[in-house]
Amino acid sequence: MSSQSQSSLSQTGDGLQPFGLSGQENQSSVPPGGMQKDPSGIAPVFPADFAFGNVCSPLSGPDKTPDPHWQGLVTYLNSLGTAELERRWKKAEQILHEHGVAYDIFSEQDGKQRPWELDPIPFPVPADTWEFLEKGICQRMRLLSAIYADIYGSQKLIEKNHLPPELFFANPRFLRQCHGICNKEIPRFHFHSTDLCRFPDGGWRIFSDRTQTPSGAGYALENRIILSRILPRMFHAGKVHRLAPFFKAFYRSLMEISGMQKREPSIVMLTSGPASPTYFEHVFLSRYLGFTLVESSDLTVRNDGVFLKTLGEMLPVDVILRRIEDVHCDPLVFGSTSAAGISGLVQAVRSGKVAVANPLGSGILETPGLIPFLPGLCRLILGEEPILQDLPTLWCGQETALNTVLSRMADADDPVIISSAFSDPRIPSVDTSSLSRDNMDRLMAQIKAAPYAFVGRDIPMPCTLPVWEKGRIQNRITSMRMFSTATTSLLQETGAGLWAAAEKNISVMPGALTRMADHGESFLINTGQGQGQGSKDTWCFSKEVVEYKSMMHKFTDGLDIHRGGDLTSRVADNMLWLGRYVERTEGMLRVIRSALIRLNSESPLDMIREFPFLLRIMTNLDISSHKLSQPGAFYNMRILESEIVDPIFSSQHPGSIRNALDSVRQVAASVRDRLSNDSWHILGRMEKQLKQFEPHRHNQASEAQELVSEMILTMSAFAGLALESMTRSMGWRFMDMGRRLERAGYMITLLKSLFSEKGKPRTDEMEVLLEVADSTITYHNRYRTTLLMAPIVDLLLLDELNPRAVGFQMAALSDHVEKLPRSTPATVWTREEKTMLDLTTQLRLADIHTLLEMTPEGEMPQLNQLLERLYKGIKDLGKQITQHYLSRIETEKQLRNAFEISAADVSADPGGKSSHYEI
Amino acid sequence: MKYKISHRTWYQYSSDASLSHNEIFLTPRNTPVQSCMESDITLIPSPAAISRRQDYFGNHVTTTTIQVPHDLFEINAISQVSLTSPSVVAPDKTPAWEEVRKAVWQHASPEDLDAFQFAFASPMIPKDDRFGHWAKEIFVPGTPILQAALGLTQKIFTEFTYDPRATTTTTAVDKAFELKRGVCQDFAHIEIACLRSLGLAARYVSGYLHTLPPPGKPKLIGSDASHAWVAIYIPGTGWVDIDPTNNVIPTDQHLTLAWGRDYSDVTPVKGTVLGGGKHKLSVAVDVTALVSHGDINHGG
Repeated sequence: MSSQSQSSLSQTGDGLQPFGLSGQENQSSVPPGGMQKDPSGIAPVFPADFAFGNVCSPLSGPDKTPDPHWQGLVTYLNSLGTAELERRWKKAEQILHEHGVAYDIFSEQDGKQRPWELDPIPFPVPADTWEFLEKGICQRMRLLSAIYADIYGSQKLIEKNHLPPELFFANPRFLRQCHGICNKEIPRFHFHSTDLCRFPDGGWRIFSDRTQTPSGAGYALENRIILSRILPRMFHAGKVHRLAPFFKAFYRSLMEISGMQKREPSIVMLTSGPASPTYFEHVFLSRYLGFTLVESSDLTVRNDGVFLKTLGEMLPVDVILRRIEDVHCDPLVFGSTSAAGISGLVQAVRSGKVAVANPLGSGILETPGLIPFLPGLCRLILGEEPILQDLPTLWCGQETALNTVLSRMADADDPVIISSAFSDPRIPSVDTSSLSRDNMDRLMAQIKAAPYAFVGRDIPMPCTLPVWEKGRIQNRITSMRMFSTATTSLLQETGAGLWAAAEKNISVMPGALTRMADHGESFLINTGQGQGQGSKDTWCFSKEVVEYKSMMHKFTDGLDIHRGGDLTSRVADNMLWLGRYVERTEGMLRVIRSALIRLNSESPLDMIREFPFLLRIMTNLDISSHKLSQPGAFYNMRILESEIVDPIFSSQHPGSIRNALDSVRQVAASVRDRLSNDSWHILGRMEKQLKQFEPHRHNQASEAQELVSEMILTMSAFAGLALESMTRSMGWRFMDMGRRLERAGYMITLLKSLFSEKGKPRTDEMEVLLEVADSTITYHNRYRTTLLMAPIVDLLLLDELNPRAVGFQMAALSDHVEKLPRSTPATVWTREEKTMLDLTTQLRLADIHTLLEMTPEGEMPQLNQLLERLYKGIKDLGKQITQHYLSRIETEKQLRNAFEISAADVSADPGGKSSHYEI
Repeated sequence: MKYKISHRTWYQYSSDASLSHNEIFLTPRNTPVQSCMESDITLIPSPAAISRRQDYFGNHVTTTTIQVPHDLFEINAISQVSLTSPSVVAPDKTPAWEEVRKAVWQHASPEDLDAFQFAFASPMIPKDDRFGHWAKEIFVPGTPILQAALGLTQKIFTEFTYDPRATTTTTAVDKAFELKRGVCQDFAHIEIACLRSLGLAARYVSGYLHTLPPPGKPKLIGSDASHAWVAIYIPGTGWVDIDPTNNVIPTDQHLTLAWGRDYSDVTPVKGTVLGGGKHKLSVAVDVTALVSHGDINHGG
């Protein structure tokens, strides 16, 4: 189909014929579902006998034929055929994998990482339905905002008995500390999500709202990006609403709350870090929106304002888009012991110096106990009939509701789901039909003891959608998560003292995260992300032609946002350690490879005279235990295998490759937002290579050798890419410093291993040295001669042109420390600069022949002293950089409460920052 | 009766602390029988930010930030209050406890509604039926509420041992209940847990107890301590204070600082600190009657 025919079709369409599929690949006008086999032999995706589920009303009219949106989709997919769809689906999976889209990325070690699943068949939502849902979601947000304003303000709704007080007084999500927090400004939700299903009767019902930190919009966006890549024609021909305008509105919403009419408010996105199940989304959205992604330890409260701890200075923060729950936001006020949170944040919000989105305390609106009261409140507060219904929910705090719930629990034919009325995580939702007699009795007793803490809910039996599964089409029940944002203040107090709210200031995402499940109850019992069985892109159709907007357009309306200078101390620290760990792993791999090559050679081990030297290097680098450097130890092949091959793959052994890689991965995950997708992909490949290796096979030494060689290549690729794909910013600088520090340490250790022994090193040992230093070729190109001490020491120690030499690392480090941010004038030297001047001067003044002068005892004191001084200098430099630039990372800890004099003499633990280890 | 309260809290650090955020509940609130005439909180070193406001329960809270390096942090709270004895409520003339429960749960008046929030579990006092069972023998049907509450107070006073080494400020209420030991905070929590378990509204009161030296000895500065007790809600009468540590209904020696659902709502001083290494906490409280008075109880 030519692009010309696409555009002409989309203009002449009536709004219900979205796909414009009269192109060449769709000439046959076989009715949907009726296509048996194309003359070309393509197997249709929807077989002729495929029946849309008995409840496919979102897609079919009364005569059970798919509506025009589905017709176009079915015709198009059938023209592709199963083989092509499968191929594209595989491609989608591959893109997802490469983008690292996953739920719970960090628990990979436990094998729990769940790849994100995307169905290749989108969910088309007709324009009328979309407009209806849009209105409904807007109304929902206005209503919830008004309730929030009342609860954390005058509490008239409770006072006048419109809401039962138990729902707040007994509710752990009602945070008294947040009362009056929004006095200066009428609150609104910058981001709100609603989960809803369509039911066979045609009605839509809401089953939950997310008002604290709704997740899923990033996944929806990622789904869209991928689906428009694998089904581009369909997408571009249709009048499908784009998602970008919604994110633009969201961006504007955050710009506006800074409330200071600043031209360039500084907005950060606060994540709990890589351990968060939705960390992928935090990284993805912060990148997409251009917000700095921060963790709690990046922020600090000073003078009642919030600041970002960067390398150079503390930068004021105007808006925090949080992905942390209410009670974890401020350890001072909420007393939470978790590592997340910024002490003093609540006070900073009160003082008006920072805005938090969504407002603190908004978790109260997620509690299911409120649901039965929403229709009444909608009429009362907004003066409107509710547009969207809720899933039938009974709050047991009301006597009739309690009795209904108890009798339904006793009735096996009328099952009900019991949930905490306050979303208390300690009370998981249960389907009562699945309970044993004992558990049922226990639950009933609990409900009777505190009925206000429970709700009973119908088990949703939502509609189904066709899903591509195991090579064929199946029907699966589905739910949608829709997102909305309020761009300006929503509420105005009317004469009657109640809240009215404006609709035009709310923007609803024209799309959704559609998720599938096997059973309706799983939407209620496990409402978390990724619990279902995959997701779908959701296409909301417009009656008008949708103007094309790039997903990558600027949000800023011609306003430039400064970025780049905001490297936080935490990120810099992680970049430094990433550089170190990558380099360390690479060095280890080189040494291990050299050892394995010799283990696998045809010569008997006792004939390989350089082997003891290699073992000495391994010991000095902590790769293997000291046992190996004992004389005679290495003649036994079995010991060697168990001491060399096993440990490098064992997580028990501190110096193993396994552990080195784990360190790389963990620290890389914490700076995921700074690494390119490709680098991330390489890291995944390396994990895979290591996993594929099974130790304890009889030819394991030779297999290990191959693996290690492969890993060296992969590691170099990662290091190269990570450095090459980064702008020469401070992040890059810290990463490269880490690398140089580590490499200098490695090279000095190699040289020490050789020259600390008495006597002249043998040729075979010098060869090994060049090999593990990756300088064999350079040496032979330069000298074309037998191995001599002076040229080797010159090449590996003093040379500032050989990227492996100590001298080269020193020159690079000197350059780095000179360019680090400084508070003193450039004429005053920092400690790091002084250290570097000292080290480079020592190297440059060193005379190769003096260094190699040997005492009658066979020692080279000059060389060894220099090596010692350099080694210590490098260690000092690492510490100085940390002290100067990275020491702000320490987190705050709780003070003991003063109460009892007798209990007073107790000390607290020092602040808990996980520390890295140095060689 | 007028009192002067001096409450000094200081943290000594093993190395410099660079930042400290604190919330301080050391300004006495006004009550029907108490008025705070003067109150001043001074900090060393002086704070970069300080603000005062009333919290959700109407308590005075001071929020501060120290931003200069320091190895000593000191809070001096000095107040003057005047106190009159509450009017005597005859325990046997109070309504039956079930009637009280009913009224609270119906919360027809604004006072009842306000009290209703103290009928539920709170951060340090989770719902636990064991407390209700334990108190049941006293709360026999028809017993006047205050009579029953005093019976419960007597039971706690008799069966529990005052032991500052048994618990800390973070000890869970069920732990202290099992140990049958603790200090005023634990006894208050236990009594509240019992009352709430029966559906009654009870709150935690933080304050001081004025004590006198043994006859003929001078009073030692700092010999007093923070104290805590309980208040129970009786519709029509209002809140009645009860001190389970001393088994009394307070008259004019209990000075109120703040009240809330439990200790966590009204912790006198809480804070977080950046750096500082290990810290040592010391507290000295001194309550002086500006007009002399008799009688003695023990605080804490």
